[in-house]
Amino acid sequence: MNSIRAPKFDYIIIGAGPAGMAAAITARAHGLSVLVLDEQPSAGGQIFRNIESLEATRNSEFSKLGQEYEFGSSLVRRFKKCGADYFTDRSVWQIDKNLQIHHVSASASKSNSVNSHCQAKRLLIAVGAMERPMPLPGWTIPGVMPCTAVDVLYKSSGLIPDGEVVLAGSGPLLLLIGCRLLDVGVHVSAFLDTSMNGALLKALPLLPNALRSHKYLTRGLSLLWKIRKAGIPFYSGIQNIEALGTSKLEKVRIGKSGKSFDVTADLLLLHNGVVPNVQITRNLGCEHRWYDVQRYWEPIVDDWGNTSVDHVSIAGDCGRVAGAAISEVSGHLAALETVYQLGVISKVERDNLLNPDKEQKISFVEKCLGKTEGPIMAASDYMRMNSDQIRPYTNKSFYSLGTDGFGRSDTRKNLRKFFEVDKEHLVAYGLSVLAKEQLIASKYAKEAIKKYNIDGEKPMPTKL
Amino acid sequence: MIKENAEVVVVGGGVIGVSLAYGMVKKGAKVILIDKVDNRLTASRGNFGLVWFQGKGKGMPRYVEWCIEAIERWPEFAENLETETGFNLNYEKTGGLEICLGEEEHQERVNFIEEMSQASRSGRYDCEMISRKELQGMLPKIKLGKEVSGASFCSHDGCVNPLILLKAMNSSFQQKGGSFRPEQSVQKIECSSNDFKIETGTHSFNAEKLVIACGLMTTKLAGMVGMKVPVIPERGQILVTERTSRVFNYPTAEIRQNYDGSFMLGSSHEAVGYNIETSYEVLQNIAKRAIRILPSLKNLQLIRSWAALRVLTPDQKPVYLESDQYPGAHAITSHSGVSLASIHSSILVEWILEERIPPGFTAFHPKRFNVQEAI
Amino acid sequence: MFKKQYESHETVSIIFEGKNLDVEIGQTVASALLVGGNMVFRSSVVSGQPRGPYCMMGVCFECLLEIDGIPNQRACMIPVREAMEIKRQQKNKE
Repeated sequence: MNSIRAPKFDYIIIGAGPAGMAAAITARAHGLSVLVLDEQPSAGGQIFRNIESLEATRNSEFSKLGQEYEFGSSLVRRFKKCGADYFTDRSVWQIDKNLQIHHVSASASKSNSVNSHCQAKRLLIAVGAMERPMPLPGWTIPGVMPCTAVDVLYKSSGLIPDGEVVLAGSGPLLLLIGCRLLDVGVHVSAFLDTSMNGALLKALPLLPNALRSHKYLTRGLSLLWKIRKAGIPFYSGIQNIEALGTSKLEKVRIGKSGKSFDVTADLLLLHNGVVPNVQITRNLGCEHRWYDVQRYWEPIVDDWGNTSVDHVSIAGDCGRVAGAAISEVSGHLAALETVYQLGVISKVERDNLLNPDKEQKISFVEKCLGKTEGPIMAASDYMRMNSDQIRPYTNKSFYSLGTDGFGRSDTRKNLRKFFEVDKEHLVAYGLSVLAKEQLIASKYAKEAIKKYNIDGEKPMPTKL
Repeated sequence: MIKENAEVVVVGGGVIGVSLAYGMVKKGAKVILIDKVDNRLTASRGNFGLVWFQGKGKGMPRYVEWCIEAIERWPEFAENLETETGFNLNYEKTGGLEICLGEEEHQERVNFIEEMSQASRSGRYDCEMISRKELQGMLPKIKLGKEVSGASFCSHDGCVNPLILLKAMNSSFQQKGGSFRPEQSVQKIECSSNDFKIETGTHSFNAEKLVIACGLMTTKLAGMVGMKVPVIPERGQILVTERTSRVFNYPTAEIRQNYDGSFMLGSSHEAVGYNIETSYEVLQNIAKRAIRILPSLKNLQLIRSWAALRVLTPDQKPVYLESDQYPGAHAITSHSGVSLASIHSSILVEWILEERIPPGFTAFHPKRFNVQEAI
Repeated sequence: MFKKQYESHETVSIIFEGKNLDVEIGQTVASALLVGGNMVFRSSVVSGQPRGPYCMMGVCFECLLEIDGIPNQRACMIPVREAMEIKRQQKNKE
């Protein structure tokens, strides 16, 4: 039996969609140990579902899916190469407050069924969003599905609906899916728009803002136009929808303006917006708030995705639903925050990485040493790597001297002499460094070496 | 400050507070019920939903009688609530089991039942041991584990949906003119000779009588009106399975199958302070024991788990107290708020409103915890 | 109900309710059955009504089937394997 034992990681990420993948890439670039757990058999989340296989085996369709897909494909490639541990088919079912994470096979696979657990220093939840359930009479009859289900079937298995399809609900995704179905020759027998009458009027005050993202507006309008132009019966102001059938869907009963009529259907696709999947954040006790604009609960986070629970952050659509591009950025941000919180980068570095256009902030070390000229030499009674910690921040040539190794340390004086950090050596080394950088003549260095009897043949004390 | 007046203010919207408030408005009193409402899972929402008798009251015969009386009132109590509100409480009085594994547990149970029968003053301790064979005969649709050695059975026992119970009582309370004020946390209580002024951040409630029934906070609030009521938290964890066809028709204190087919599995008793996290080890133990009792549970998917805190007095039996220092102020705390809801909403209400003290009531006085004070 | 948009690639043979089905590898059990026109996967434990796959992404738990003797498996999360035995879930085993 294959036992997945994965003890401690700096960073554990749940979800291998755009946000999770971006976070893994960034965290790995800074040297963190990273584990990614995902339920699905391959990376990509929902939007880039099965993308590796699509690219490899169904390339003609892959290229039709557009630029976004190329983007996703490159992200998956970089993720696979970044060196994160990545386990597919894992369902996280329990997380303790001290971030011990329990997971089992998502597919109840016999060979993979052991409960495993692992320990995180910091946790990223990037589990994405899901369709808002749209209950209506008969919605459990086989043949009623959320509209994204056809997206999944198409991407994973190349399936398209066969028979009469009715689309019902509201929101741009429904229009997008409708148009995609038309593109592949599916027969859409009705489009039922359930947005309330007067919704347009309510939305009008938002028009100036909307016009600023006119690309989205025009895209939406063009989708709508396409559907109308195809001659699909379009019904708005729908009041009631009922799915009817015995063992599977046979027809959809539509109620509008007090009248009702039936439409034959083999597949009824519903959509009523997308909501963040807050199961894990709820279970952890993170605080949530009601987001009235999109009508869902979202976890309360700061700009970096930190939730109200220590060491737990979120990225991507499981916070505010905003799509793949933004999810990727939020994953990157969350990882940078983690890298900072784990002390791997300084606050200044983190801020600078995120604001490449703005004036770069300088660190305290730089502030102190920035105005000096010439090389920097650091001497310590401790190990060299102690001084080395500020090496990257000085932006100058940097030499460190220290006492790592075996040697005399009966008195401080002997220690310093043995490890060549006494004042004589410091002078000699200092002059040598200056000479090496051609800031002084080398003769001065030679003079000091001779004067202080510095033995150049002696084995380097730190190498002993 | 918003000022409101009533005859009685009940502090605590859990199953005890609500049952008292409900009983009081049924008697025509003007009642305000206030509740802190935080999102944490409290005992009232996290419990197993048992309406239970067997196993209770060891060492306090008065309490055993109290429990029997509560259980006998339950069917009518449930029916009234259902008629008043239209909610279905899913109360099933099928009788309940405590299943034993192995010989040692079996013998322990035999001894326990024997002791309880002997101690019962009315002689009415209707709980009997049944053999493994009889038990399997009662459960034709599911096989017992090899180690099952028998069980105790009590015909009084049953179960209910505790969430709907809570909702129904609250709903009926409000329908009958009760005022429910959620999101109110008591900051201060001022006592004068004829009334109490209860201040929260935003409101000031005035009443002749005060009832404190707020679970783990009872100690603090009761202390504000001269009463010493010790309570401590005890954590219990529960696992819930997916729905399946109905095969297990008798609740036990560790396993019950709900009307919709899901199994609830418990239980644990942990002294961990105010921690309501679930823990892998405890859940594992619960699952292991459940599978020893009913092996085919192994195939069911688990869909949910939770932990909640019981509110326990030192001997796990109720405290019903009126303040000596401030008469009119009452403190009520008990385990088994669900099972006792029928009697809390009737007999206890008569005690509070009409000062009708039930016989043997001193058994429930907290002075029993401090031997010195009792003398 | 659903059909393949392009030519099938490599296939495996699975058994659904006693009948052999050739299905393309890389699919989930749910999508493989949908291609064959099998919409009903189980009946509801509470009402007995027919149920089939819904969300296709693992969050709704409607598509439960018995696979290789293990019940309650989310068909939309499980890739098809050679000789896999699939049965509808009419009533959970007890």
